[in-house]
This record gives sequence, C-alpha cells and structure tokens, in this order.
Amino acid sequence: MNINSLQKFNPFDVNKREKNKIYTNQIKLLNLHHYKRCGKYKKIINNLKFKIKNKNKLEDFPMLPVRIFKKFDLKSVSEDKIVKKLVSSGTSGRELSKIYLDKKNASDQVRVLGKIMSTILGNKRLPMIIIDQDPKTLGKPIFDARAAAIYGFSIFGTKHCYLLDKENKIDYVSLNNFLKKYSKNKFLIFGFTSLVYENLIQKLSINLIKSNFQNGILIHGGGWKKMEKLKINNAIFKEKLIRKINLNKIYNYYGLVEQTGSVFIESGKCGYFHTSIYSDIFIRDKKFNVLKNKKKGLIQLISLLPTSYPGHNILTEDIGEIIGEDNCKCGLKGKYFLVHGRIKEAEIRGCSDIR
Amino acid sequence: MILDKVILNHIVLGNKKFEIKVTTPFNNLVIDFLVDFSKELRKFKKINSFPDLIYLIFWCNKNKNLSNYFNDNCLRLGRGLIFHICPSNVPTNFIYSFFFGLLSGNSNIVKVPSKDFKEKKIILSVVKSLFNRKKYINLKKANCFIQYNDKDEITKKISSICDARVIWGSNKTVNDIRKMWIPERAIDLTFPDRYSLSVINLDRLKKEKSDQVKLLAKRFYYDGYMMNQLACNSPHFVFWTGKINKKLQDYFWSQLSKIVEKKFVFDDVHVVDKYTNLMENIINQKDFKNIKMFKNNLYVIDPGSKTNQIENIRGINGTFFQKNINQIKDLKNFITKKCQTVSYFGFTKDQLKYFLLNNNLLGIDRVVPIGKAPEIDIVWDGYETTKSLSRIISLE
Repeated sequence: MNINSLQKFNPFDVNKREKNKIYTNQIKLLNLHHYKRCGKYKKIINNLKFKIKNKNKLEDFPMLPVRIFKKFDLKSVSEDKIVKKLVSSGTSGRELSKIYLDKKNASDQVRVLGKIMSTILGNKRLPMIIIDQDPKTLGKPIFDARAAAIYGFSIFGTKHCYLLDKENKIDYVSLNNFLKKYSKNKFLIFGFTSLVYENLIQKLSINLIKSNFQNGILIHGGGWKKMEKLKINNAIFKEKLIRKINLNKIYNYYGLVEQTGSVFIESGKCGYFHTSIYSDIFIRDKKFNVLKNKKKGLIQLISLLPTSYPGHNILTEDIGEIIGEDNCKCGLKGKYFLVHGRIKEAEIRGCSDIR
Repeated sequence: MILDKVILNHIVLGNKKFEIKVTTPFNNLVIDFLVDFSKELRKFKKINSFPDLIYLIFWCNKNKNLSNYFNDNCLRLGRGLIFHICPSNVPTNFIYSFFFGLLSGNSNIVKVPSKDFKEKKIILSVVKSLFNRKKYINLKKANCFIQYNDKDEITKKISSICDARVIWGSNKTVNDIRKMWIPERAIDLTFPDRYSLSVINLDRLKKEKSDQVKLLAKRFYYDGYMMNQLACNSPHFVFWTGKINKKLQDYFWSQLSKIVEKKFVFDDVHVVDKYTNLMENIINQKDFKNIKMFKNNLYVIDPGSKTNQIENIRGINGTFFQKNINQIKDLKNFITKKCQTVSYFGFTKDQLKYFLLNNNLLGIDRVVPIGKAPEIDIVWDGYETTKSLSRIISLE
C-alpha cells in the first residue's frame, strides 16, 4: 500500500462510492501482501478457504481477532527490517499485544496521524501539556502503548509540559509556567482519559493555578473501562471539565495499538467518531453478520496502514454502532459511529482456575 | 479447636468454634442432610433456569441410596478434617467436593469460588438454613465454608492442620498447593487438568432413524455446551468408528447446530473467544483439512492424518474436532494419561470393557453414554472419593 496515493484527498471528504473503489482494490492488495509475507496469516487464509485472488466484497475479507496479537508475533517483514516494537499498555498480568513496525510503516503512521489531527489542530504546532509523566525520565525499556501514544501525539505540539512529576504528583510550578506563557492563545492538552479524569477533574486544585484552560484543546483516549466503573460517560466527563477549568474543546479519540495512525477522532460538532479515507468500520452480530446502522454489535476495524504486520482487518472486543454514512450534520464524510465500551467478560466456567 | 484468626476472617458460613468430628461413611444424619438440601433447593423459585442446580438435586437423591453400594464389610471412619480447594470458575463444584467429604464421614473446610455466581449464593443460603436447624447443629460445628483470593498464607495454615486435601485446579495450581506442607499422615486427592472426548459408532448410528440421530445430537449438546467446554469432562474430539459416512456425520452436526441455535445463549465474549481460539488452533496445528463454522453456533474441524497428539488441542464454546477411525481399538493411539471421560454411542458394555482392559491404557477414568459427560460423581478421576477420604480399621 502506498499511502502517497491517498495524500491528495482530504481524509474526511471522500464519499462512499469513491471510497469503495479505492478500498476494494487496496484491501485486496494488502491481503495479498500479508498472505505472501506472513506465514501465520497465510495459514489462516488457507484454512478459512478464502479465495484471495477472487473479487471479494470488503466485508467478506477475513478479520483477525484482536487478541491474536497477544498470543503470537505476527510479522510481514523480515526481522532485520523491524525498527520499532509497539506493546499494548494492557492491565498488569495480562498478555500484551506486540506490533512490529518497519521504517515505512512507522512513518506512514506518523504521517496519517498528522493528517487526521490537522483537521482539528490546523497545521501549526501548538504548545502542549501532556497529562502524564515524561516517559523519558521513567526510562521505560519497552515501547508501551502509553509511551507510544505520547510520543506519537507529541509531534503535534511544542514546548512540551508534563503535568505529572516523577512521584506522579501534579507539578504546579511547570504547569503555572506553561499557562503563564501560552494560555492566552490556543494550546494543546493530551492524555489518557482516565488520567485526565484523575488529575484534571479530581486532583487539580484550582487555587494553586494562576491562569486558565479556556484556550486549551484536549485530545484524550485510551478507553472508558475505568470510567465505566466510576459511572462517568463522555457527556459527564465534558461537563465536569467545562465546569471546573472552563475547558470546552474536548475531543475523544478511539483506535487500536494494532492500527496506530488511522485513529478516529470525535467530531467537535456532532460528537461522533468518523472514519477517514484511511479507515473503515463494520458492526457485526454474534453470527458475524454485518449489522445495519443504529444496531449495536462487535466493532470490526479496517485500516490501510499496516504493512509490516497483518493488522489491516481486525475484530475488536468493543461494542459500537454506526449511526450513518456520508450524511452527518457536521459535514464530515464517512461512516460516523459510537463506541459503547468493551464486551463483558464471561463468567468463565472450567476447572482450571482456583483464584 | 479455635481456628486461626486469618482463617476466621474469611469464613462465609460456619462456626467460630470448630470441632473435628468423624463418623462412619453414609451415616443417617448426613443422608438426611442431603435429602433436606435437595428439598430446600427445589423450593427455589427460579430453579429451572439453572440446569446445574437441577442436576445437583437429582444427584443428592441418587446418592442417598448409595450406602448399600458402599458397604464393603470394612469398619470405616472419616479421616478427620478435609480441606477442599475448589476451582473459582465452576459454580457448583465446591458443593460436590463438600458432599464427598461429608458422605465419607469427615469435618470439612471448603474454599468456595471467589466469583459471584448466582448458583454459589443459592447453594450457600440453602446450607445456611439447614445449619440453623437444631437437627444439624453438629454438622454446623464441624464444617465451614471460606472464601479468599489467592492467599497462600491461609492455604498454608489450613493445610497444616488437615488430614486430607482435595485439590481441584490447573496443573500449576495442584503443583503449587502440593508444595505446601501437610501433616505426615495427611493425603492429597488431586483433580488436575484433564481432557475428554466422544466416540460414536457410525455403523450403529446408520441403522437408527433420523429422530434418534437428533436425540443423540441433543444429548451431545449437554456434553459439549453445558460447561462451555471448559470443564475437564467436556469433549473436544469426536471419533467416528466404522465405515466413513460423511452424510450422516454432517447430518449430526447440522442437527447439533439447530439445537445450539435454539438453546445456547451466546454472549459477545463467547463468540470472540471462540473465533480467537479457532485462529490459535489454525496457527498452532499443522494440517487442518476442513473447517465448518455453522454461523458461529458450532465449529467443526477435520484435522489431517498427522494430528495424533490431541491432549492439548482444545475447543471452546462449541468447537469440535472430528476424526474417522476403523474401530474402537484404534482409539488407543489418542489416549494419554490426561484423558478423563469418554462419552460414547453405539457400543455394548462388553465391547467397551474389552477395549479398556486390553490396550495397556494409562488414561480414561470414566466411560459414559453421550449426554452424561457433565455429571460429576462420587467416583471421579479414578478415585472412589468416599473410600479415599475414609480410613479402614482392621478388626479381627
């Protein structure tokens, strides 16, 4: 896949017909690419008796369950070409996803992420607060998803200020310095949803800050699992931020570490996630039938970016619903959708676990 | 005796003052307790939505008459205090383990699953109501149920005072617990990871009417779906003996799929786990010939001829591997020590007996007609639990 050929498009201005033309061809090529280069992927395609060279509908291409990246190392390039290994943040004790990137794949991800972000941030790099610790000072040996997201997003900002110090406490000195200098104009705030909640909504002491967040643009993501337990949804989250620090430009993003780059950003006007020219979505029922709009089911995500690993077509463990396509009131083209959170864990029955 | 504080803190049901009492196996009080337990359980309003509790009621009544069967002309008493370490993810296993200990004449400390199964709550509330009856005061004093997460300290404490441990769990769990000291005279009964399979005689099935094939599929549904294939007694492989009959085999599977469609409630996570497991199996195994997916109701996989090591090939939520063999004798190539239950159709007991005794088998502890695989019993994993948990006194 050559991402360059898509550079001419505005990522959110391609309608269904145009996109379909591009996708049926590109996904076929991408499938063939992984089929030839990843033995494990080939085995799956062969076993599912999928005719890779035939003309297939986009929804009929086999999807890989997201957990397979936790169980196996899947690569479509030789070992010596790998420049970066992404590891999902994952809750402790669980298996982690391992994503192998070559030079091309890594740079494609950065470029596409940039294109998508520029629709919100413009083309100028903004001063940026990161609601986290500086991963450099933590000296993390592996590229975990949290650090990867920070590095990935931090290229859209400048004058980076990390909100948390080494002890994980709010660094009011740095924060006030930053706000004093930059809060009069647009600035960027980035963080994981749960950390934003914990620090900006819960811990931050208004009395200790000398300026405000009125001109801030918050980009946050990484899942609502913790928030669900606290009964905080997107609307409440936004309301609390407006009320506490007068921050009202808030954008949630949704994406997989397996498809870094082609993330989905909540549109400021309508509140929905939108697919771009780089991504597509289907909602499936428990029989894997494709569901119509406004029906809830399992989210399947397609991305044109993964070339060094077969992550282009993934069945997630999230539940969502597509609201519509190409006709969103916010003006962006593509499918627009909601994410309703992670599937419920099963009451696993069996004899093998005594905890 | 007064139990250690650490243990006391985790008691969910039982007396603080604990007395170790032993009796003869199957004594009348215990039999009455079982009968009353099943009566009380039956009164529970929504009982019909819990097939595992229905079976439990049936089981209690079945075993009240077992004392005759048990009578082996030996003078027997319980061993003393039995510590039951039960799996956290099987809702009803702990009560069977408790009954094994009780029926053999012992006092019991039972570690119950930490997960909030409805079945667990129902069972404990019934036991509680019985313990409060005057009649069962002695049982209350001599038995307790505890709940804790993975705390070695507590497991060690109880291990150090028990006369036998009944350990259910993965191989790792069994190994970890075995490292914890028990008194010199104490014994361990272990129920580690096992696998199970089914065998169907095609030559016999061919002679049955289609209704009978449907009935067999229905029975197999219980074996295969009741515990989501996560129990040791759930089948993963189906072996077909006799002349290959693809049409009949396919008919069986399509009937099973219809039953699943009607009866089994898939959660999203079941489907995701099933699909992920299928992909794992595809990557891990060398030579699958064919995979049928029946709209996610049922996955049927034909492994190639090279697949002989089957003990670690497992399905989940209705994923079965099928193989044709000439005759039951050929099954021996697939049986390892890990094999627990074989559920069957179309063989006489003599045929099965001949196969079991003449093939130098180190595995298979249980052979039952298809449909009975999920039914736990006093004889389990090759032990007669009530005999193992009691001691013989020689009197001449």
